[in-house]
Amino acid sequence: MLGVMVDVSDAETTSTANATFRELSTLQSFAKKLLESGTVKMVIGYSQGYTSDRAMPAFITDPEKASSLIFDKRCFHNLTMYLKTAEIKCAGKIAIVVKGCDAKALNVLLLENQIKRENLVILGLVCIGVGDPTLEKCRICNVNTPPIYDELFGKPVPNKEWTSATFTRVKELEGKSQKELWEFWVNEFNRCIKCYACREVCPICTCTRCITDKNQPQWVPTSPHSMGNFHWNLTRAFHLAGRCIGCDECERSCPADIPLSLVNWKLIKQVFEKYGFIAGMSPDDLPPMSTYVEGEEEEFIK
Amino acid sequence: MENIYRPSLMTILNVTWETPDTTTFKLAYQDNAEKDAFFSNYKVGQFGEYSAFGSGESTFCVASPPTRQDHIECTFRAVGKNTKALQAMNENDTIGFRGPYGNYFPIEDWKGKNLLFIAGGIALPPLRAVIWNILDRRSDYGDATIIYGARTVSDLVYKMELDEWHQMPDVNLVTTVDPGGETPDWKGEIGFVPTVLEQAAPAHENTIAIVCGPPIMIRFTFPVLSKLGFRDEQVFTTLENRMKCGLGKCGRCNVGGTYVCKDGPVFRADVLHKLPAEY
Amino acid sequence: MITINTNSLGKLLESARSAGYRFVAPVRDGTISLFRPVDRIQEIALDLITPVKSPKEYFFSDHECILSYKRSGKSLIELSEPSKEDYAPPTVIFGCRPCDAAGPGIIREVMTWDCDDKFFLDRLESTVIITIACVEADEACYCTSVDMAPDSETGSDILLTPSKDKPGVQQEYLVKAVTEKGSRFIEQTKGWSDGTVNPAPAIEGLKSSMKPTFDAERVRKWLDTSFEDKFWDTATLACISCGTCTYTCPTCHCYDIIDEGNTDGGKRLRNWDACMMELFTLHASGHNPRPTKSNRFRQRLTHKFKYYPDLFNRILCTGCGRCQRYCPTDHALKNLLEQIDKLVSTESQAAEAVDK
Repeated sequence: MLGVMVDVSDAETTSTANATFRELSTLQSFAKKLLESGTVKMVIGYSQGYTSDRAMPAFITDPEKASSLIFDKRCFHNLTMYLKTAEIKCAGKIAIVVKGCDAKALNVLLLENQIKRENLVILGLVCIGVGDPTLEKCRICNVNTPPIYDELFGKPVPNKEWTSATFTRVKELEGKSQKELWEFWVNEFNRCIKCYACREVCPICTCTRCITDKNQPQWVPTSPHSMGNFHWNLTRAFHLAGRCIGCDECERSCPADIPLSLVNWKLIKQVFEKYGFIAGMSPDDLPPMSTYVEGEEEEFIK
Repeated sequence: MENIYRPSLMTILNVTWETPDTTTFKLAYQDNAEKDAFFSNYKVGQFGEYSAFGSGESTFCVASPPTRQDHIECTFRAVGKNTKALQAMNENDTIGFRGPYGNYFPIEDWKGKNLLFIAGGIALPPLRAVIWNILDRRSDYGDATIIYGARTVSDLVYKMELDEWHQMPDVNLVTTVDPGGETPDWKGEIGFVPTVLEQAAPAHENTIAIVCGPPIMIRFTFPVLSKLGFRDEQVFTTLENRMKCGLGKCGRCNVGGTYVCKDGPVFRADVLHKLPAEY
Repeated sequence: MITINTNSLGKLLESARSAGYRFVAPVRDGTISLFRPVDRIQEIALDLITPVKSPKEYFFSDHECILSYKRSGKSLIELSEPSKEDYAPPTVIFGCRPCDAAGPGIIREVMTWDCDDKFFLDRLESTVIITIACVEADEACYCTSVDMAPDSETGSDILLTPSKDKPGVQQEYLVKAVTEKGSRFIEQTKGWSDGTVNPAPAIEGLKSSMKPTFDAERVRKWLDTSFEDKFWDTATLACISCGTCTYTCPTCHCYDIIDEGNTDGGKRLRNWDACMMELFTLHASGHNPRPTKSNRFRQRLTHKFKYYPDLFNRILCTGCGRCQRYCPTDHALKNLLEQIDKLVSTESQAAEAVDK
């Protein structure tokens, strides 16, 4: 079943991100069969974008259109975010194309009972990185082979293990003084225009009514001024602590280019170091931020 | 240049609790010039933006007729942040008010006609303004029939006025509550507004029907009216889309290309039926 | 006609500033670009097609105080308003593109519809817009499809037309005062112009290469009858319902009014809002007239290409292309408009075939 994907021997290097995905035709014909046989109503994958150098999400219902599926270094989108939308929720059984990081999101959604496993056919891709140059999240990726799938496309790559040393970008930031950090974030968050692309594009932001959209009481000021922006961006990050899977889609989507991944990865690092937990590795792992185990350290109460 | 968002300051003269969550405010302008400006423009059916400072603004109709010029009244249910803050206020407190905005019921065109008012729940206030307006000019109009229903007896608003209208020989008032919403001493009808309307079967000749209520009530009332012989041109209703500016700028209340705050809130049924169902 | 070359732009900035103007121009800030007050000409990024953010915020701020209130007694309230000097200082917007320059004039229609929004109008009146015609476009640009062109004068007070077809190099610009305000500005700040030779405008190449990609009038006719068309549901699936397109758009103008403060004192603010967001039309009762993203996308497109033209005879779009450039999913107006246009021509061809 498994073909050869890219130069697997080179999987550790970033240059392979530029290679074409050799399993593409297998993926296309598999998707076509799923649609033809009626196994699924829709396949969510990637297709050529309207802009020539971009890819975009594709929602394929016609088996003949399965050949428009693509996969290459431009396929940034974490398509699992669409599973939270009303349109897809009522679409019946669907198949979804996921990279390793996207598959982590599926695990979180399954764990949190946001999606039904039986309504999904997971088309996992062995991915060794997107972006040109390859994104930071791909450089430290520990799920080149997705942690969950029904059908895998590409030859599995042994997944890397994380250590504290993995999080180099966060470490750089941690080296700054409190004053420097404050100035850094004030400057970054000031650019926020409250478009909420970070929230909307996030597969894990599943609240039916976001706290910033609640006004009784008004927890988060809705204005895009310094206070409102700080409130929003930190609230968003905290709600993702122990849940964020580090797909960095929020940062990619941000029209103001706020380095949101730095906030997210700081929390990922913290949760990893404190609890040895990596969100999304399995649909059964109990989430540390919402689980209490008898006898666990409660050092925050002093 | 004038600040179109600057509200008039109003003193709460009187607070009446209509139901456990619905209140009527009697309000007086603190500035006489602003009061005169209001009454030189105000016609029944128009609305305003009411604010408890610190909580924002809310849109609801002016519930008193222009024939009573010493004050205005409004009736609102506490559902959002601002309506809850308003409801927490007391007599003599100051609130903000902008208005009158929007179009109005063409009551001058209705002279000599019979009027049929159909209202559900909290939607009686816009009709109440029309009712008092025509009752204050009783000889200009024909028969007045009011069919008013609410979920339960305690959800009926303007209970004192319902009694008053009931006593009037030239007003035909039918009140009803949904099945199960009656009390042991309830003397009105039991049943949904459209059903009660069908039973009452008011004549359509030379009659204007004005319908205000929750969307579901309106949806089931329109077919009954046409069954009774009413043409769409004889039927009026109001839309209550969410608004912010009230002035045709902020873009929130659009139903298709129609700004409810300017072209509404009053719509004749034939006009309403041409709009896309975005309300 | 007078000209100015790149070296003299510093003089223009100096004379504008000494005449009391705040000088706002496109700049790069890290990886993004936006319009910002500048002190030195070197800060300006003249090679950008358009900055990420349009200059809309200098007319219609993303958040602004429209009223202050203060409790002045047990039950008394005092109101005050921001002063015009504070919110509408004399400003030059320099170096915006024709698409951005046209934005405020289009929004003006609704901001003056029956009553005037002074916060918008005062700013518009105190601002001189100096536009630089385009010699470069990218794939997202589509001004020629919406009755505009790389050298449109619409909305500009002064239009600079470059002499060379390479952005960022030593340029000579033809200076044209488009409005009375523009002429007065040139008169008031003179001393920066470089004589009156006639350089050959270099925009012809771009103008002839930028063909319209859809027929806006044909789309408008389709919109008249296609509110319930199934097109909307399938074509909008990729949309993520965020506010990126609306907030970077030079013509989107929907807003929210909120209070910040407590019962003792505070401010009433007018903030940008977006029809693409679910909360925009949500009633307190929970009822939502536009519950789905296809409903909301239809509203945005139809508002721009039918409702606004029906009301004010102007398309609510200048073809700047930001909604495509910055859309997280590459899903934007232009492409839907092209699809609609194609749909119409296929339908009409099919109808013709039947007729034959």
